[in-house]
Amino acid sequence: MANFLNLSAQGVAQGAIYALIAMGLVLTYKTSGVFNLAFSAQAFIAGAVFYWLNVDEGAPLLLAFIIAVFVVSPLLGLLLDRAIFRYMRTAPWSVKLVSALGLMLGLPQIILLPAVLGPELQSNPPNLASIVGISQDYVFKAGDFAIGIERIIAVVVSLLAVIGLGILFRYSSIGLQMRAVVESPRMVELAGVDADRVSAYSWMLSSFMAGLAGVLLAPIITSVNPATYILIIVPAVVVACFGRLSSIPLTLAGGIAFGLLEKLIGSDLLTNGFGMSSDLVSKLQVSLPFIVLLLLLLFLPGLRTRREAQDPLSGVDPPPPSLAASYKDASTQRLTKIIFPIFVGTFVVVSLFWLSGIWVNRLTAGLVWTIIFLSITVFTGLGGQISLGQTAFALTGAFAVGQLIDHLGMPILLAMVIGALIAAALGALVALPALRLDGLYLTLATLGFALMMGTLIFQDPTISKQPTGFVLNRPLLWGNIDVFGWFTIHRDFFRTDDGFFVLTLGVFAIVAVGVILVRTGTTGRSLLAVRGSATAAASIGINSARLRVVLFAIAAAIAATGGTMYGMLIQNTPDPNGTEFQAIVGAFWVVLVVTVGARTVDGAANAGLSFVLTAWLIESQRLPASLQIIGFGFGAIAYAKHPEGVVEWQTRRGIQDRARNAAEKARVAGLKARGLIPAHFNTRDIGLSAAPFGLYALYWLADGIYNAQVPSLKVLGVAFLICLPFGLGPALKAIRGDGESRRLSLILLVISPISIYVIFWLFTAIAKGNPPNVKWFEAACAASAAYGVYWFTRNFRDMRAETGRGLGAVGGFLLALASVVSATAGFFLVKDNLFVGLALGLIACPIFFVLCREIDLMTTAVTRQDRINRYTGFGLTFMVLFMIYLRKLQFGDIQPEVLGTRILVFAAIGAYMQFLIGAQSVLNDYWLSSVEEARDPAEERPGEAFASLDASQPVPAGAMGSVELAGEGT
Amino acid sequence: MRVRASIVLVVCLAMTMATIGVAGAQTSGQPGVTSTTINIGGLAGVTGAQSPDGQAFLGTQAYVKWFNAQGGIYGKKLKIVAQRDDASRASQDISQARALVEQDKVFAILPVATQSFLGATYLATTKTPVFGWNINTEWEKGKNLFGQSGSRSAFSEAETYLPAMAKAAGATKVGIMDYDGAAQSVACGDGQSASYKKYGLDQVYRSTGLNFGFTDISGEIAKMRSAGVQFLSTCMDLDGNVAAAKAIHQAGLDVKVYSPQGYDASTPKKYGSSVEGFYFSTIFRPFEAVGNNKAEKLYLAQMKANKYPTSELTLVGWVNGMLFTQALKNAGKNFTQQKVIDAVNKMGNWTAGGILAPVDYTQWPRNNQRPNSPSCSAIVQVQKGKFVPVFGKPGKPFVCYPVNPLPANLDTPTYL
Repeated sequence: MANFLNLSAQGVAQGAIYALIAMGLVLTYKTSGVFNLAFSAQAFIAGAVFYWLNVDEGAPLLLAFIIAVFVVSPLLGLLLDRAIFRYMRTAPWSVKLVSALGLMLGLPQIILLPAVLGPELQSNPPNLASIVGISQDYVFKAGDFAIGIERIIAVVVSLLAVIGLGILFRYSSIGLQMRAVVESPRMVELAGVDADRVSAYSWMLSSFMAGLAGVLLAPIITSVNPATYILIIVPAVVVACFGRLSSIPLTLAGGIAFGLLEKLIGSDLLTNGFGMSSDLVSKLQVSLPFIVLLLLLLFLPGLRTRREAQDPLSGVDPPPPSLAASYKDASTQRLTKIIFPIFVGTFVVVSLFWLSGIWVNRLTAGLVWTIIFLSITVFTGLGGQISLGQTAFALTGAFAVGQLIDHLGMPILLAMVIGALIAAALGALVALPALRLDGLYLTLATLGFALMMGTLIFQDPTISKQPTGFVLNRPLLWGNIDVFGWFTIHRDFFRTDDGFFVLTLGVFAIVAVGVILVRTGTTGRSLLAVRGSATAAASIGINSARLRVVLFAIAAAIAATGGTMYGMLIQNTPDPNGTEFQAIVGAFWVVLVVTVGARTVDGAANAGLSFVLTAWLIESQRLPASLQIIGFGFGAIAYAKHPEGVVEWQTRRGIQDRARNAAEKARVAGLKARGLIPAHFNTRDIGLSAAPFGLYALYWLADGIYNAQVPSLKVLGVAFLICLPFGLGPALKAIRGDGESRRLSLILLVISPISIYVIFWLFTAIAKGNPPNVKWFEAACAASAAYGVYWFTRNFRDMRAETGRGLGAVGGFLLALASVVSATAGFFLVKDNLFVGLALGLIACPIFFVLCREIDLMTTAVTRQDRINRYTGFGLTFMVLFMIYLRKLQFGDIQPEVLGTRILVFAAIGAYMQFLIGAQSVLNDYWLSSVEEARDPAEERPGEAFASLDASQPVPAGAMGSVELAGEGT
Repeated sequence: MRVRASIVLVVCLAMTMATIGVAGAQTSGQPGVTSTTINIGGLAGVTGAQSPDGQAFLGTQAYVKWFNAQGGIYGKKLKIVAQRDDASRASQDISQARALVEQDKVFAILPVATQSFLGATYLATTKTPVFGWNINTEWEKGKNLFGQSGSRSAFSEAETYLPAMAKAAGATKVGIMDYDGAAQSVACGDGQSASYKKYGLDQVYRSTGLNFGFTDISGEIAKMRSAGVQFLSTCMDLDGNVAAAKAIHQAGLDVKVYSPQGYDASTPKKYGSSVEGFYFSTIFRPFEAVGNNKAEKLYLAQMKANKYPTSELTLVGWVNGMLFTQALKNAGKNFTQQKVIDAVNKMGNWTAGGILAPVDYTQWPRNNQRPNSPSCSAIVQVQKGKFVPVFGKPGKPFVCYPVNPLPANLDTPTYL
């Protein structure tokens, strides 16, 4: 009896902690509709900041606690809301979930960067006892019962938080508003409530709770480690589900109940009381959170039949766009059919006959990941659901193959097929109980399944042969093959780099064709029908249950095939505890694929190759590998704006660009016909003023690559002189425009070459390992920044008042550029303090992003947004450059790989060219619009069209009213 | 505009790709050897692991700096040309291993410190000497792979130091704590169990259902109390061990705890009273028992001069450097990679100047049988916030037993 009471008390204490975290999840779900899996990341950040302040910097405990929980955490929540989630309020659940997953993965890695707090784990964090005058080591004892002060504090705080939240939601107006916003922010605004403000408060409150949980949990788990915080989220999810993701009191009750259950199972009750074997009890203990999660999702009334709260106005939202390929005209489609095979053939020939073995191996790895990611293309792209369980199916395939080879001596390719079938059967089995689940709940169920497989099944040495795993040797041919006497394919061909590349390409082709056939066949069309309306689909005889089973089975089989190919790549079955196939890594796979493109095969291919090549690019610069996770994690936020994925978005943009260019040509022709602009005028004249900079940059690049040297001014000067005639003439034509456009042209002419030269000089200096001359660079940056700030502050308000938009875009960019170069200068000044330097860089670039976004809000034209997107590419390049220098400072004399550096420099040039083109087109647009507005057709006098735009004469008042983009293509 | 920009970018890319690769000015026909340098590179799990292993690089860096300051060898200096991070990913480990050999063209690879060393399969097929931290079974795969304490792994075999430690601590009832959800931890636990059984200790407790990152072990505490555990050995990370020790302390149990990880100068300061009384074992001379050992004194002095931490990982990097340069000396002036490999494989009693317990590299295959050299461990205990060597003798911290075959009892160790 004493033992039972002891365990019960421990269970209540433990359960209260789970409830605290679960309440944070419930709070954000109730108020924003986001199931914030990034809660664990926010908790980790608060814990890390608290530890750093108190342990590393010696700040008093109370101060560290206040800063971490009351300042940093709410600010982080506010930032997440302002920058990300407020734009997703009416977005589908999948968008919100993927974004949260991306943040869950990316946020902690920022803290772990060497320039921030570093990758060393923070161990033995303090508890809060001494704030209230109690010893850190205090233990309350009563007989055999003992509980440490850190748990007592956690229990008390959790209970207070429950009470506080309950009061807030029940009795306060802000609580009511928070609940209303998640139902329909648009209707709430119609009632006169600022939905944005309410949402911000919700996120700040939820983040505050995350901070609280992070600081309270740290001394209990004795370390501040993102992996641990992520694992804690699992029982919290269980408890949140028990509360039906809505009820605070039920969440608390669920937490306590789960804590009690854990303790009782861990006691002797099952072994002594029920005669169960300790091995079985052990397995039950390990998998308890996942079993309970699955049972709750499948059987709990209210959760099983719960439907997502829908915005009543969502019925008028437009349907998602069709695939970009459907927009192509006949000639483009014909061109694609010709170019695509040439591209694939070139890729294969170059890979086999030109690239070194190590590069072939990298590309093969990219193809292997592509095969795995195609399972997500099927499940998410076609099925519209999100599965976090693909790691489990991939491992199932690999281990099944290992078993078949080990026990039956089966050839590996045959074993791979059977392994895929076994995984398909398992997938179908998993689908059956999950038939009634949808959306978020299905996703959670797949997560539970993956975690259970990872901790229970794959740890069993009889299944996975852990810790060594099975050796998976690549297949052998039946013998040497003589090809018409020209050459011989040896028996061990597939065991060479080239041979395995060919094999992987073949497997990829088969799987890709299969995916396309599924997509274009009956199954794919039925899946789309069910996505559109399950009721309507059922009414025409589509069996959605059968489809769900088929979906799981196909996705599982593809993942299993990919898992086996991965095993052949590394010649061993994957490690289920390793960083590539742990259960939670499935979240990263989903984030990566949906960001790049989940609906198409080339989206998966881009994702797979990006996964490998970005890792290489980052490592080539000796940068922290976690930058990849940060990049893709935050890239998931782009999913909100472009749920079709980056690949589809770019494809569609290319098609729209062509239409826009055609429309612009027609518009200019119309202006010429009306005599408003000279017949010889070419809109690209303004754009061509950017050409000299691009041309002499290319000349420098060629010279630099050829000689691997810092470019000399002489070279640059010669290039400038050669290119000048091509650009100066058109630029002068533009300068003939009104005062504003002339100033802009001058700025572009003057600032661009300075900044280009400085940037490229810096890159090469870094690549060569020579630190740049700080004073020179500072002077250049400061001058550039100062002029940009001066010009902008003088002219922005006037421009905005007169034009409303348009020029503000370019001006906004210049301010951002000034911020960035100032930050660069600041970075060099404080180069010994990496944290401050990075902070400066990070501050500068978000300014850039925010400005561009605000400018976008001033406009309504889609084309402006596209142009502004080009500017963001420039900003991102700058971020990369900061990181290059961080690498230099971290690794001292260890040189980066030259190829990687050159690719980054090349990317910088590309981004800069895109900026120039974008800036020029904005300028061009503005100028043409002002021409159209300035002329009253009734007063038009042929041949004098340009006279009114002479710089010496002011533009007539009222002529620069609204700048319409007449004739603009979309 | 877009098409033109695309053409520009493609041209740039083609020009860039056309210049891939820079040939090194090699003089001896051996990769990574020039007239003035011997190029080396390292591989570690700097990011992505629960315990970042990049510290090993620091040890090698410090050694190279010191060695070059002494004049190098054969008129050449050691040059670290690459320190690659495999992010603790298996596929990346293989890729980075290949990059060291095929791209960086290093003469030797040191240090290697990673949780996932699948690159060993590839490296075993090359002629590149590889030196590192042998926490993986892959070190057994090739004659050119040399762990700092040998290349043989025997996680789940019975051995002597643990039961000897438990007996020396006065315990008769022992317990084991490991992570059920991690196969390697379970294998370690099986080895400990076999060890206790062989030498007659009564294993009265073994944990069930523990997972990495546990927050509460009150159930396990209750079991330990009921069983009367006196000595607890673990197969967990140090943070897990500390959490367990805290719970044990709060419950008022008098249990001595052995942690396989965590012998690090910062441990007592970082963990405070939570690790008071902990036992740790090392296969190198504890820093507190340096005595007159010149080699370890040199290591400590160089770490201090470079402001690098003293830890097992930096020591691994340092002794890897020592082993490599010793092998270079043994190989002679006309050294080649094969000669260096052969030189190490002839070493049956390598001690790194007394830093290590004797290491035998002569056995091949590595996992065929136990080595002929004795198995030695140095044990330290945290007493009043400091590491104190225990169970050894003054000036001889290593407690050694033969392993081939294992002794019948633990009554007559030798001390080194």
